Amino acid sequence: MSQASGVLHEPFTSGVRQREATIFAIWIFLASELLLFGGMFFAFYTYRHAHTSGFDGGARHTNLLFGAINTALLLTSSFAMSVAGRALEVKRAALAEVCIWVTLALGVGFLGVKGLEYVQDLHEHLWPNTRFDGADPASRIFFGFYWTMTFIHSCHLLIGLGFLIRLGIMARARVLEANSDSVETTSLYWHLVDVIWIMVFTTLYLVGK
Amino acid sequence: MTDTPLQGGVPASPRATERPAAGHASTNREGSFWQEGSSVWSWLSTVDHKRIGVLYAISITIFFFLGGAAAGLMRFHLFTPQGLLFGADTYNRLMTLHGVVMVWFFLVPSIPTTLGNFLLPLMIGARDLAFPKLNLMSWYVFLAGAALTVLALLMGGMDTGWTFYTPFSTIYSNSMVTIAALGIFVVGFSSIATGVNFIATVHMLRAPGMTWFRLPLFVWAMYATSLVMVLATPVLSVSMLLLVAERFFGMPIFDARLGGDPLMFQHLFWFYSHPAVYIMVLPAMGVVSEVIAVGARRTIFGYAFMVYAMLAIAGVGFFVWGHHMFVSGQSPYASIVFSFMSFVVAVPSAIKVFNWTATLYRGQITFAAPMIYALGFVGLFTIGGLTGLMLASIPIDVHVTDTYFVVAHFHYIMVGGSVSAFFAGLHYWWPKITGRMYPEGWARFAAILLFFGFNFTFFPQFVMGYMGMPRRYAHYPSEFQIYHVLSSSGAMILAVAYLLPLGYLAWSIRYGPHVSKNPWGATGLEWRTESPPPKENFKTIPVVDNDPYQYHQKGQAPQHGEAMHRGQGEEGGGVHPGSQTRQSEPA
Repeated sequence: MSQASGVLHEPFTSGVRQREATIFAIWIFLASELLLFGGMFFAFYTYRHAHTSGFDGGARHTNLLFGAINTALLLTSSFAMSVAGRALEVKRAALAEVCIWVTLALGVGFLGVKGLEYVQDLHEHLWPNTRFDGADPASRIFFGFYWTMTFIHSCHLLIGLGFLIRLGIMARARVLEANSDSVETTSLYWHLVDVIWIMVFTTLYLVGK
Repeated sequence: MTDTPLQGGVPASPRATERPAAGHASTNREGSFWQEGSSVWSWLSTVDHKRIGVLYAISITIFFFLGGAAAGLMRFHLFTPQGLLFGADTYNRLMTLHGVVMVWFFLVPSIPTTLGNFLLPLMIGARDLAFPKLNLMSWYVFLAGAALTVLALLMGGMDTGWTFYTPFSTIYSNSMVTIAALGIFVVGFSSIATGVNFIATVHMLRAPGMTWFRLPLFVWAMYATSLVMVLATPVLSVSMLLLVAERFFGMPIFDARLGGDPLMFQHLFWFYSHPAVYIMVLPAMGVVSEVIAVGARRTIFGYAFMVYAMLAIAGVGFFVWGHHMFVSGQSPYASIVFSFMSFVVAVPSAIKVFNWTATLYRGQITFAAPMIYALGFVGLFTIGGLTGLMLASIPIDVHVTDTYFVVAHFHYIMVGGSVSAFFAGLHYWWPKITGRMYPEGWARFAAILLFFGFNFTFFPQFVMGYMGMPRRYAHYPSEFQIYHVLSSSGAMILAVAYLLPLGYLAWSIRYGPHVSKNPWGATGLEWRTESPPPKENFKTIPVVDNDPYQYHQKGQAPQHGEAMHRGQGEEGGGVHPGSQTRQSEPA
């Protein structure tokens, strides 16, 4: 936090203050994001309490392999993102750039795996309409949450990818150091996407398996 | 326009600026933020918090009159038991339009995005909000959400009521619920962006010496409001998303046929929508605290308690949502807890009312228009609050659930409270924003008319609600007609009281008399810069070395003859703004 921003914007007169403010604001925004998912988790676990067997039945239909691969991909990407930030601090711009592209690639890989999983899910009639393949009606509610939660998480991931592309372009132009605040904020957001995935993964793939 | 050094403790020489005569050719807007480019693009691309405040003001004014027109039509329709104008379906759509537009496109953004945007940096001695671009983005996001909602209205509107209760909204309604819900989802991000921006600004950009407990109460109100915006809005967003997921994509999340729970939606919805009431009323409390202090020339009574009360309201407000659901079949134990918490949240609200009243005690009160609006707020808010206590007690709530009693109660808070305070603030800071004074006589007339029109409209609703008239009905038994006629007549008066300021405020932008820096003789940093302020707010960032609201010496009452001079300039003020020493002789 003691670092200063590269470029000063209005209305700040001190780079250290600006960086503090930026990071502080992004943390507040992350709290807001947590509550967005918090609402869904609250609803999910309340329902699970009422329909334990139906929800457990639903959880057995999720594909743990895909989920686990994706968890590994995202955790590794977060690691790469952290390395990028650190590399920038020790002025290794080339390494920082590589790390940002690696993060981006792993994120895209996550979406690819998720896409494969969705295809398989649709193939197995896990879309919760009348052709749903499951005995217990509560399993359909489970899959209502499955699709909604993973979809909203993927939207967050897409937004994160957009920020990463921006960072990548800046890294290519070697102006990343001047925008070290963006690295920090993107990094925090990316970690949030990661943390939420861990909760989503636990909730949908592990609980009641 | 002399460049006075704005060092704390040094009186900012309020008489330095001569007021030119009204209608004088030269304007004192030279060098102000109004002059920084006049092209449309310069406004649409501005990152100046003052200009964004103006943009927001224009946008929400349009929505206010849209929602108001819907209300006017409904009230006109209800003159007779059979209804004068339209059938039940159209009535339902108008009622939903009124609710959705007024809540999300007027009341929630009203004070924070207009007065808050304009004043927050000025009051803490900053040059702008912490993230000016984010601020502009929030306005565009607001417009995007507004566009979606207007689209839904043009395509036929919604008939669910503003509460979007499932399963009606998800399964049965044949109206534009999906688009409207997405509009509300989108506009939520505008609120969150504003909230994050305000919190970061208050934490990071206070002027030297502006400690937390020297902040004006309006800033504290914005801070408390922002906390609620940031923490409650996402839950509304997700409940709207789940609604869309079920309605549009067939995810059976609230579908009772499969074991889903429609009440889940109500819980998620009210988890936002009860705190949203505090998003609407906390800023109003901030405005009223400022206006009452200056209107009575009195240090605010119990400043620290006012601060803690606002934070307590913001905090406790998160744990009372279940009082909207006493008859829903939720657990009776939950109802008892929610009832208790609702009584608890009344305590800080009552503290505030007592403190405003105590502030008036031995004050030199002037009934200028902002003060009339502000005193009107205190009275109407008290009635709204006391009836809120009645509704917090389960037996009475069960009796009057979904009646006009509830409608009257929340209109006393949101319209009698928030809108009165919005008008108080608008008039009070109007000279700061435009550099011109509004016509005082007209303004006082409008303020009094608003108070009468409002009570005329909504007091009969308490009576008929208690007698059993249900809300949201297009027709009613003829025994209620007398109350409906009273209420509808009042609404027509109220409409005039709302239209009047639109006229005379617009007039005053061009023809109002010029004002100096500090026409009210008020304390507060916003009065130490020019009216209207230059783009950078302050030539030099002020240094603060005194507590807020020092209208008189500590331990003494303001002396007779020190009353504020009804907006006619600072000639009447005995105390110089920003100075602790009272001048012995008026210069």
